[in-house]
Amino acid sequence: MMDEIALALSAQQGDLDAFNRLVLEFQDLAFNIAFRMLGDSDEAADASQSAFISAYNHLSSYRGGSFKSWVLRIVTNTCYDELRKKKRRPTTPLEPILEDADDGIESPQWLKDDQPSPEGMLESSELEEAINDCLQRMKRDFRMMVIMVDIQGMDYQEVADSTGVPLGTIKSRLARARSKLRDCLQYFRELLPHNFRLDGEGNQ
Amino acid sequence: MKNKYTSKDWQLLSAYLDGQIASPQKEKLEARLHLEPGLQEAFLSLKQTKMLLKHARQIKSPRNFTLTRVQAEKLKPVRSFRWLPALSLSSALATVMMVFAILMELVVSPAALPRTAAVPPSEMLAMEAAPQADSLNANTPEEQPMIIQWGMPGQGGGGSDLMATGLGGGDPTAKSGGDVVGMGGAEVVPNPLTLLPEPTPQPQAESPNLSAEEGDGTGLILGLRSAEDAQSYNQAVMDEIDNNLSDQSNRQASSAPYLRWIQFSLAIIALVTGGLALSMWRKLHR
Repeated sequence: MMDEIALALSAQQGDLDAFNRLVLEFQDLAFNIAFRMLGDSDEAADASQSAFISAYNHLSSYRGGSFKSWVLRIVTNTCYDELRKKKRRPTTPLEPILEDADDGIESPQWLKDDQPSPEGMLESSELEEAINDCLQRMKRDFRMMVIMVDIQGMDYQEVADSTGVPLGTIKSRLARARSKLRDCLQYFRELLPHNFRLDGEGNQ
Repeated sequence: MKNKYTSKDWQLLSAYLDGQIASPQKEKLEARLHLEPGLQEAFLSLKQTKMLLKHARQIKSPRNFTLTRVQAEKLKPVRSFRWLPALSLSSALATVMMVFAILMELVVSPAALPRTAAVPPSEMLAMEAAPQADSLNANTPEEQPMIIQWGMPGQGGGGSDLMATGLGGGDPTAKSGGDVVGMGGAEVVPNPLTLLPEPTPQPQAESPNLSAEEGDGTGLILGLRSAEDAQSYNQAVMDEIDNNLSDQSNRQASSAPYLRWIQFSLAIIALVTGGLALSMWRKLHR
């Protein structure tokens, strides 16, 4: 187990190798959060790179404690900045949109007859797309809570440290976000293995 | 089913799912879950949702985000300015307090001065120098005798049409008061009745007061001052003016002497802290 605090303090003293070890430790987590927040792999990579550069620039403001929480806060803020930029300057893709690529939530690809088997469903890209689609439909604050707690498996305190949001707010946001996702992912819930189903009917 | 339960219920279920619910609430909720199938159904739907999200793919970052030596040298680490918030706050506070101190001085100083200080010295002198004004006012304007101080070459004269006490011209427009002492150059309004020279000028009995011998109240009174009387009178008037001016300035200065120092100190603090905060902020956002 790497001593992240010792490495962070070394990095603060100008040890670039220590900083890079911390980057390697947290880059996947940072990229995943950015990807789920922004919904695009390239944007997520850029946001992650910006966040680590910003972390290096502001190493002097690190006051000890969890480096993971400190760097995730920078990642979170970078993602929020990117979302604000996107909102101000909406972009259109250069490549033509294929008709069969339109798998919005109203007519998703996974509603076709050739349904995936329940066993393979959890591995399917359809579920992945559905999760991403549902996440992008949410408000960004709710989205961040679900990503951190349910997808990345962080506990409430870690989320509070990483976002600066109080615990009570985290609970309420998470409950609302889950409630929305519950409706959005209803189809996939029905395909879950039996031990995760409610009863014989499985419908509400 | 969703509408069957309140947002509080959903929040409790969500926290229970994560094991983030305290003991009394937890037991109460578990009892409800046993009794209410609908609530249990809602809980399981949340559990399924959480499980689906947990199976979301963990994506490996497409590249490493480590920094090279060259990159690190180009990136200048931002220095930490711990004192920036404190300096900014103290500058703002000092400015606000300085404005408050200036307002205090403006509001408090005139009220602290006695009413007499506001009276112009020329009016006070006129009141002091006219002891006979009461008696004159007692008479009707037609019955008031005209008193003219005579023999003041080079000092003008004139003033109002009732009594002219001249260091210069009085206010020719001040006809109602009748006892204005002029300080500036005056326009002498010749009055053929008052300018008649007396063969034996009446010397002023009391100087510097402008007391003339009262006649019978109906005739014309001409007063002629000697040069010494006029000089002493002038000196008395000038002394009085000086005293009044110095009294007024002393009162103003003594009303709040510390306010000046406070204002000055606050201005210095505001400037110094504001300048430091600004320079730090510029370095920070370079």
